[in-house]
Amino acid sequence: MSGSDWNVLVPIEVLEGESVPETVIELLSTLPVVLLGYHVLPEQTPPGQARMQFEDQAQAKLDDLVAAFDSADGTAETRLVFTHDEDQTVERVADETGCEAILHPNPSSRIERLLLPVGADADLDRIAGFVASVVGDRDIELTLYYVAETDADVPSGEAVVEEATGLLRERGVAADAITGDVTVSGAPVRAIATAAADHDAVVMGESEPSLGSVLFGDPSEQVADRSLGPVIVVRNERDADASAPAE
Amino acid sequence: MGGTPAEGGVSPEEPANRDGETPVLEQPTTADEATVTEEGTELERTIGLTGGIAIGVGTMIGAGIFVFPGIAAGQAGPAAAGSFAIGAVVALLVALPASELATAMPRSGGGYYFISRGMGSLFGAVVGLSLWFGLVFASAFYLVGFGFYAEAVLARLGVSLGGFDIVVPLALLFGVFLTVLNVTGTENAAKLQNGVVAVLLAIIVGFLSFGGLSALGLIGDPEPVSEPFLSKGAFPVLTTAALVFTSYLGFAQVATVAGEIKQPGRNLPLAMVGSVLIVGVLYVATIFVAVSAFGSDRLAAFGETAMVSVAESFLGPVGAFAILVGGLLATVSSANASILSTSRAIYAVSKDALLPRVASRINLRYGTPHVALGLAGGPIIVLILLGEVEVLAEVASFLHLVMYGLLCVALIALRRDEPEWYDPEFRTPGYPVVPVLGALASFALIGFMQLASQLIGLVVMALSAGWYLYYARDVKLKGVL
Repeated sequence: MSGSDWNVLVPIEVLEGESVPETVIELLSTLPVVLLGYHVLPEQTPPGQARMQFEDQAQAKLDDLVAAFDSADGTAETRLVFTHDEDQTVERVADETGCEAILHPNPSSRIERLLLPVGADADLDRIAGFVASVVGDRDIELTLYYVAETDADVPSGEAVVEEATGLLRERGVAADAITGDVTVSGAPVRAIATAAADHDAVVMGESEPSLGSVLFGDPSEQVADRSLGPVIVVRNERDADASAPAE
Repeated sequence: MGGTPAEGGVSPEEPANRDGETPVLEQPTTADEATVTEEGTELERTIGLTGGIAIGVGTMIGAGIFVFPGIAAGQAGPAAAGSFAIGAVVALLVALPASELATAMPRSGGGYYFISRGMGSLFGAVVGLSLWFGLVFASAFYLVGFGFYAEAVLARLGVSLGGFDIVVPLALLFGVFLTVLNVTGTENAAKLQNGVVAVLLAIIVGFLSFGGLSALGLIGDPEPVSEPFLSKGAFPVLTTAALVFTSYLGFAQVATVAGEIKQPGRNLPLAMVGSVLIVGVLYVATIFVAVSAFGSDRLAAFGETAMVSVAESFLGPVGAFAILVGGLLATVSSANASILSTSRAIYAVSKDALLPRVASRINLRYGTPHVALGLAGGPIIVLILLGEVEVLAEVASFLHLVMYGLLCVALIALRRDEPEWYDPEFRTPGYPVVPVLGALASFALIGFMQLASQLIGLVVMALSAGWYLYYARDVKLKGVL
């Protein structure tokens, strides 16, 4: 995976007043962005019916955002979807456009420090590749953050942080920009959200679906909700045929 | 609005209606997961095969099992099972051509859309507006059925209302309730609908297994009643088939959400044909079991809630309770599904400029189509006041059967001279025999209805044609995708 072909999907509920903060636009200016404007409808309403009424308004908002990306020297293409099911739409468009990362766009006053939570099962290679291309040659501090369940788990956490540091340096990130942090906590999501409050944005890997994620939402959503800052999820590698565009 | 250049100044040559509106076109490239319109806007498809079957079964099962057995047995004797079987055959003969058309044009509007594109806007307008009223009649019928069950529940709880007939007031109350709920409710009711259908199927299969064993004399008391199959003669079998055909209207409601079904080429035919087969088998078995428990005359005397007495005779109060709960759930789910289909039928004709566009306005607060839902709920409430179960059912069937017959004709018309865009993923087996028989059977079934129902149906069609000639005669829809 070379640094240049990372696409980021930015889903925004365009008619509900959601937007992309300027600082986030600036953070993503190094990568091609797919702006997914979507509108969720109750099942009583056929998507085509909503399109008749809201298409122009929604497209105008997306065009404004594209102009904002342009003026920050970024690139953005747009998709506009009327749907009953937000998750299905985000997944489908991410697959079709080959986006490896998805942004939860919360506001942030500036982007100078990124939090990178890394778990034992994280795809460090992918996350490091993505982060390196986002950062580029900019002056952004990175914190590699590992939550150990018990004290006995700390050494393996330190090993993960060390490996990730190596991978980032291989991709040209300056050594003094990277900090490692291994914390012991029984509630990893809460710990990450707390740490996120001291940072400007979070970049994390995708989690496998679990009972917890069904009940409380995906960990990345929980972090976004608790920390109130932007969160970028780096998706796991997709099977070649699953990401092929539909005919 | 996108694609309506004629909105302001109207020249007489433009295909516009009296308000200067022209059809909104999607001109889509249809993919499996989303419809992509010409402007690039995408319409996500979110209903899977289970959801499609739940719409079909959920719409149909309320009437055939929980309302009709007593009435049908009274008219046709044990051969009422044959009436339901005839209905199933007619429904299948139409479901196959409908599946082909739906896979060729998987858009909202179902039968209306196929006929307007295959046969032009006059036929389209008559079918589209008649479908609106056909669904209104069907919804009123289901709600009156609900009223009977609600009354039976109250009676069993010992609630006395001083001898008033509360069927119609209860039906009215629920009609208003469902309409308001659909305008204001944004919860995900589709999951609930799937659950309701699953519960219903469990109740019915349980009832049928027990009743079937008893009917064969293997278990239980009472002794099966033996009675000649054609105890009322052959002709009533056909008139009863026309009456109970209302139990098979739901498969076409799957086509009204064709624009929202995933992998339409596969799921639409499976959902339509599958739901007809499922309910057809259950209906025939139910009548068989019910008639062998009591004989047709006693069954007829129990009326709309005859199944409660049948279940009670097999399983005591538990059986009665299960069927009462089932009847309430089934009639509400059928009514609700029909109200939603009505709103979609109105959207489809309004999008094509056959009704003022304001009819498909969406409420900014709830995101729901409040005008279309009101245009469904209002007439339903008026019709409930009629309270005539049989006329409501027959007019609903009449208006649907006209659409079914024309749908088969539209298929033949399209196949004889296939336009370039016509590329269905599913092709009707046995063409041209199946659509020809489907059209003949649909029109023939109308002939067996009561005169009053036929007259009301004809008046609705004539008014629809009159409205088209007055309001939208310049709108051209044939072959316009």
